[in-house]
Amino acid sequence: MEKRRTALQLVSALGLIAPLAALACEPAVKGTRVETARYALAYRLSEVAVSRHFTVEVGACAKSGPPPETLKIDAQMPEHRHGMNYRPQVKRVGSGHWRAEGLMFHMPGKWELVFELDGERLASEMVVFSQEEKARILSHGPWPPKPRRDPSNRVSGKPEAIALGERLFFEPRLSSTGSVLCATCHAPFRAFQDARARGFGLEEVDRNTPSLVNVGSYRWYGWDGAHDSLWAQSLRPLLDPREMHATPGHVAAVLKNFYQADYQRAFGRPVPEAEEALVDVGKALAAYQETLVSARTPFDQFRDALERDDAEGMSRYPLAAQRGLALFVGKGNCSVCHFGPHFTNGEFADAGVGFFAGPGRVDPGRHDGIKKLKANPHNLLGRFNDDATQANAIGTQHVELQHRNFGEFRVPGLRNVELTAPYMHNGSLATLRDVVRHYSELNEQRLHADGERILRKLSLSARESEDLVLFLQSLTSP
Amino acid sequence: MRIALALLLWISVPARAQELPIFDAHMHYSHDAWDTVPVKDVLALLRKAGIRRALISSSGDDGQQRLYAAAPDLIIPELRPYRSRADTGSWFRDETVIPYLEERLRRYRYAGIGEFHLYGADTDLPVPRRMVQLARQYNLFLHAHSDADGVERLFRQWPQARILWAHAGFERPERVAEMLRKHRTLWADLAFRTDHGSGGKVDAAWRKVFMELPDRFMVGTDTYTPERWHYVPEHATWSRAWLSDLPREVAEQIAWKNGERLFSSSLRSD
Repeated sequence: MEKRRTALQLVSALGLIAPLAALACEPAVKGTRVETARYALAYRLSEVAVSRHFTVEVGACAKSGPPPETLKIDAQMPEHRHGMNYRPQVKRVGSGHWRAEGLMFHMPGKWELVFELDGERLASEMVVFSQEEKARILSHGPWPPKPRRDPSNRVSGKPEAIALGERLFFEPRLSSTGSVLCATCHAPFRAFQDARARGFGLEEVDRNTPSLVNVGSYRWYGWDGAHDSLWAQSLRPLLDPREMHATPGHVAAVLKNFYQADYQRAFGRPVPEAEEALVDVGKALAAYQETLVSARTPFDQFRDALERDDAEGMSRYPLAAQRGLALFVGKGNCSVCHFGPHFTNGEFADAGVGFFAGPGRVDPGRHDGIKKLKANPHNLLGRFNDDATQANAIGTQHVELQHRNFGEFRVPGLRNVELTAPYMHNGSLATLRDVVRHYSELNEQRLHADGERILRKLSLSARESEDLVLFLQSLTSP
Repeated sequence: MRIALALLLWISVPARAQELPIFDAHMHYSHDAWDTVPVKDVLALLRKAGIRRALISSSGDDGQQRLYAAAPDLIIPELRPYRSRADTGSWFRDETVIPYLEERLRRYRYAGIGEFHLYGADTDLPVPRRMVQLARQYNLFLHAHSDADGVERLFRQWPQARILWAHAGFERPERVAEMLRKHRTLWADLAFRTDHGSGGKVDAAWRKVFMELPDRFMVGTDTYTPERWHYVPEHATWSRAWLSDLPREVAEQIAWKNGERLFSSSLRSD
């Protein structure tokens, strides 16, 4: 029974909520408001759990005409076509003020509280989350996380390094042609990505450009996780012939010619030779990117209100987003992989997306990523890790190459996901609605019979799909 | 340049000659692969990987018949009771599967029926029972993606059945060994598992089983999506790595001799 305790979230059906300014009378109770042309009603619920009785305090007044004399209350689950198992008793406690007791929501889900004031109906929808759902929702916060220094990068968090990194981020001379900068693909005005299906530096690459917002907190970098630190990942596009096509010597020369003083301030030494200079450029770029943290979102406001049992605060989160959230942590099983404050487990999965990169050519994803990671002299097991204990290298040391890794790609975080279209590792899905449709109509035949059991065709209704999209959009920071 | 080329050949030819052949006992060439990985590409990938022979079962039989026609020396077809992979979870209750099997068995030669997914009590449903009767009638292997209970039930239906246990049921090595000891006509394929040979080293518990029952195991890539055909060379290299951690004779049996002994003559009368 304990498990089934609920948090109660109340939100008036949007169409029925009236702007405060329009109220012509003030109900005797502060709480969630519902209005008709004639009446204004506000109610407040006592702490509520599934399968536990609760009380409702109701205040109502007439905008014009005589004040309401009688109140009836009921509740129902429209999708289940049933109401409560109990008939509440309503007691008048004053003029336009009632208390109802004996109500009980005997299952989690979407409920509708129905009030009848002198025969006139007022309805208020709400989503009742189970205790398990509440725990899942709370696990997606709080936000923002505490700032974290990267122990593998001795200049992580250092203002001089952040300033150098920012200048280098917008420095086209780092590329061999002098024409490509980090911001070419990671454009700040596009949530630090490029809105293309596949990235394009000097040539088109096989994968979608991920956003850099919140990148400081990842465990693995790149769609294939071929890098285990942000600074090592930052070196890859510098050297990739299809992106910036630089060499360590070229990067060192740019530092020496244009950034001597900045480098000295950030690293406390003159610009070193090629390999050392290259790695330090990566570390300065990483220091800058670590500062790219998204702001709070409507979801975060809701999540914190839920934690405080603040029904008033929760009521500001749109009901459709709540229904989408219920799908996200419930039927959709989305939060199994997209969990935590960043909405990702930081690992890799086969989401049933094809991974041919071209005719006769596949993108092996994580399988190739693990091999590259292990072979990379810049991984955390190497000499460039500034954490002498190498405690941060445990994942690199123990990650195991498995057959299922072939065709797995990073589970991306979902904060600001609305701003980072197109989606998936190859940008093959243009919109959030396409992504939801992908999971709703998932081709299970692409998944191994003994593989991931979480992914199953969701078969969402049109309204459910739209609710899920609206929830995902609520992860956007203003 | 000529010297460099000669040196390269000198180095690579002996290395290739020493390469352990592979009998791949678990492949699929299903409907969605026919266009994206055409027959010539499949054969090129198999030869690049050093696959000596491949036991192929497919959801939709036409593609693998084209494969077999193009390379009868390389391809050994099995008949899968699936017309598409959508049949995977429903075939054992679908009576239309039986005429499909009967028609195919009349028209073509196969080494076995499978790989089919069948667990526990479902094994005793009418459709699987009829499938077992057909295997018996045509003297075919059964390639079962089953739990141990399913395998036991197949043997109860046909005690003389020869069964290739796919993925060895994803069971622990001790349980696999127990089943192999109990059933002398049960063999195991190791497809889609890495627990027996990670990082070029054989797991201690599996080593014990391989050494005790070296004539009962085969390797397999499990090309369950079109893209995974491109994994065949990688998988062969991976298999050779862990097999090299076993005595040569044991490694050869698991790599190819067991499959060759059991399946290579099955279509010879063609």
